[in-house]
Amino acid sequence: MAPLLEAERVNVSFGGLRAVVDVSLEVRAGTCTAVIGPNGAGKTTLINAISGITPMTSGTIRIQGKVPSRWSLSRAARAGVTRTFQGTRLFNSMTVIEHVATASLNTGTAVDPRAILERLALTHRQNDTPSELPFGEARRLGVALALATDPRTLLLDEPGVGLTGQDLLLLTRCIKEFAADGKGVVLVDHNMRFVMDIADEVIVMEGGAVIAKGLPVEVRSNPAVLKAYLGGSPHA
Amino acid sequence: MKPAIDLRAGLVFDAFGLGLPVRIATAVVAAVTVYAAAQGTSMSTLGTINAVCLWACVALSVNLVIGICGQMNLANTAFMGFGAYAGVLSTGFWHWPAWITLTVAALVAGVAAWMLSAAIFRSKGLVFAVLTTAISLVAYSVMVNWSSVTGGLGGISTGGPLEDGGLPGALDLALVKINEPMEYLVLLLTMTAALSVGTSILLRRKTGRSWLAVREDEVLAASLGIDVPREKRRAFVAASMLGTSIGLVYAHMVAFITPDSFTFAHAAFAPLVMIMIGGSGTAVGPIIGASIVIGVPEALRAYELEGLGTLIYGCLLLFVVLVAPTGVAGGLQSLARRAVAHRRAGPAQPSTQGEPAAAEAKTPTV
Amino acid sequence: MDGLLQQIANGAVLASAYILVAVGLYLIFSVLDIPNFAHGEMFTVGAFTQYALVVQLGVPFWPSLAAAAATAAALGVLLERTVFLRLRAKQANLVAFLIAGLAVGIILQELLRSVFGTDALAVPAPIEGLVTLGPVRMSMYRIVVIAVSLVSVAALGWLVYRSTFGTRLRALALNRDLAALSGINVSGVGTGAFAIGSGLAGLAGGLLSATSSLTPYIGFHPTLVSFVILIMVGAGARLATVLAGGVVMALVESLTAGYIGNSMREAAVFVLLIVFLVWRPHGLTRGADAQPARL
Repeated sequence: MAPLLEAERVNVSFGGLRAVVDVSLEVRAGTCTAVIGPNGAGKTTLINAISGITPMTSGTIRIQGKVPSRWSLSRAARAGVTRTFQGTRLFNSMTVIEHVATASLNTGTAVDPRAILERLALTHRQNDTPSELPFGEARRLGVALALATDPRTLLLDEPGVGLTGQDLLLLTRCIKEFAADGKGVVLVDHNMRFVMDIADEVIVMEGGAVIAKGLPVEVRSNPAVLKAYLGGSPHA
Repeated sequence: MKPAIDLRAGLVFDAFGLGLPVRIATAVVAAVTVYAAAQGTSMSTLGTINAVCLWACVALSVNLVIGICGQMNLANTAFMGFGAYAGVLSTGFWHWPAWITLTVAALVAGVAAWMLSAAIFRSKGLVFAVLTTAISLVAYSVMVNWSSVTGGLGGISTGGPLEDGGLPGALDLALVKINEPMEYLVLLLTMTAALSVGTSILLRRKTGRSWLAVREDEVLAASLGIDVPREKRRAFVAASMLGTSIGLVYAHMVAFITPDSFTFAHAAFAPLVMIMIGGSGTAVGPIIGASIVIGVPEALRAYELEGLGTLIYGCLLLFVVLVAPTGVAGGLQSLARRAVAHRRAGPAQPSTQGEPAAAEAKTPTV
Repeated sequence: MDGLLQQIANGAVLASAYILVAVGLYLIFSVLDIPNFAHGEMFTVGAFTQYALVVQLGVPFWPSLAAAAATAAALGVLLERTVFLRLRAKQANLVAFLIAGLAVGIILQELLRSVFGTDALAVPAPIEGLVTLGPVRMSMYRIVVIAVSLVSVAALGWLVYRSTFGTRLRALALNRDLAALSGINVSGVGTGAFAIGSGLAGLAGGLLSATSSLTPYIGFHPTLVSFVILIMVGAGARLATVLAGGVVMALVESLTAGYIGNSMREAAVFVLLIVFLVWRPHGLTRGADAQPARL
């Protein structure tokens, strides 16, 4: 079976700056791929390119074996590739359930907003607006939005930032359940414990290029990776 | 077509559970009340009521792009002016029935708006606002300078060439011919009610929800599969076609138009003010706004305080923007929403970060 | 050719006005990120202050001019504190700024109207006489206006690019948070920028009060022209580019008035903007981090 998503030799340059250099990755059903690396490594730019919001200078994206004719953020979402954003990005005037209901309107399949809210333990917040949500729940709403579009591939940009304890556990469980359902996840994050716990494959980027790829245990002891992270990661 | 949630029950997109029959009934009752109240009033009062209804319609149509879709479109002057001048020329000079002109003009406006949107929506925010302002100002200049067609600053009348001294032409809508102010009142009340109810329906359906999402954060909206450029274009085309049609009705109602009816201040800025004061993105806000913006100066005029009216207008505007940006309707909605939420939620729900997720999941759903 | 040169000469005074007003707006916008839609009203206030002092109170022209600029600057600071900073603190969107600016404009226009009426007023020029430069003839005063404007802009250029205060201004324009962190008095510098920007507009108003007739409504068009210039030169432009923009707009207007018709002069700038934006939807100079987001 073709991978859910393939990115082949993606290059993204801004003027003279090469932000992503020849990066390839594959997302297979039921797996979670983590992309890690020091700040400025190009991880978010890679996600931007794959999710369609930033044009690639060169490279190919394939969705279940087929190359889409045109690629943009909304086309990607309609093709089953949904991403989340760094930071908390929500619709300030809508309630929680309105958020999820709006997100579910553009999918091709039936999605029950209430079920999504339950999965992310947000049911008790359904009539609240983002300004009334504590940090952890606001972040969860961002994930709920993405799930409400019923994607086959989820691209998560630093979903764990600032989350601890139960919030982080809930997120972990959610991602694992999603992947186990025959879907794919690409995860960018800095929390190493969180990443190593979830990921089936880890890709390490530095300076725009991939410097290591493999199982979490392999990557963790890779000398090139350790060198890139000289000084240690705060969560290692 | 399969929303899994029952949109018509309004449980999700309507905090107050006001079904469509309720809304239609409210609109009808309101319209009938105004009609009844207008019986036996003076000509000038009737004129004011008609003006309020007409500008309420303008505000409701502009609300689609600015209030709901969130795009600072100030090009209304061009479309409203086009409809008006087309209407006057057709009724007064070419002797077409108005309903034909209406159809043709609306279609032309729709096509023009469609083509324009490809170009103008590449600009965002401030640039887009100034660009559409520029369109309005150029349209005004055309109205003033193309005097062979528009009569220039001297204006033109639905009664034909001014020298001939003809009577104002009727608004010929095939089924009815509208001539008297009372007849215009019926027409305008119908239009206002229809646009208001229509907006309320739109706000509960996919298109309206998508537009609201685009207004709030177009990148986030796109990430949810919303085709942002397409939605902006649709809102713009809809508003432009409506604006043209309303302009045509306006021209017949006042019978004599000059470019001064279509200055930036009157036809682009004032509707924006109405939306802002009344409550942008709501179905009744524009009506409230039009009532205030048109009604208050008229009331002051009756007391010979016209200049004061402008000053009050400016101060009110500043006040709304600084203190109550959601306008009258928006403020009422928040109050009502909070009251409803309290009633539904029962005792307050505790939830702080760090509390066991399991406990949160077991909290009774509301 | 002579006719063309004369048209250009006629436009030179207008250019001076547009340059001063546009540079003022540019300063406010780039340093404070506030789109001040009441900016043109500072021009009007400057003009009417000049009128009140010179014609009604008999104060000599040049001191009045200084007072006019100062009044506009003070009014600008007042607006900044009461209206614009409040909006910025609320993270208000563009609509709010637009409406607030135009509302302030309406209030100011109405106040001026109630004091001075709607009849067109004029201020007598302080210098008489015509000057002939080759095929072109201009009044002495107009030449002085151009000179004063150029000197003012040069002084501003020195201030922005060579003084300590200017360094702080530019720091604030580049990155507000970073500027605050490095100890710059963000609030003070910001107000200073607003004062200078408004003062420049007021200076333009005072200068031009003696070359054209005054009504309370003369400020809106300069506001729009300034925004057109701002949009066309784009974010991150240099002062000189804004200056060039002012010259271009004045030329477009003068040539339109001279060759096509006076009634079209104001629309000409907007036609230019529309054409320009079809070619360059985001302005001339794009910021380094501006990426087209494919939605």
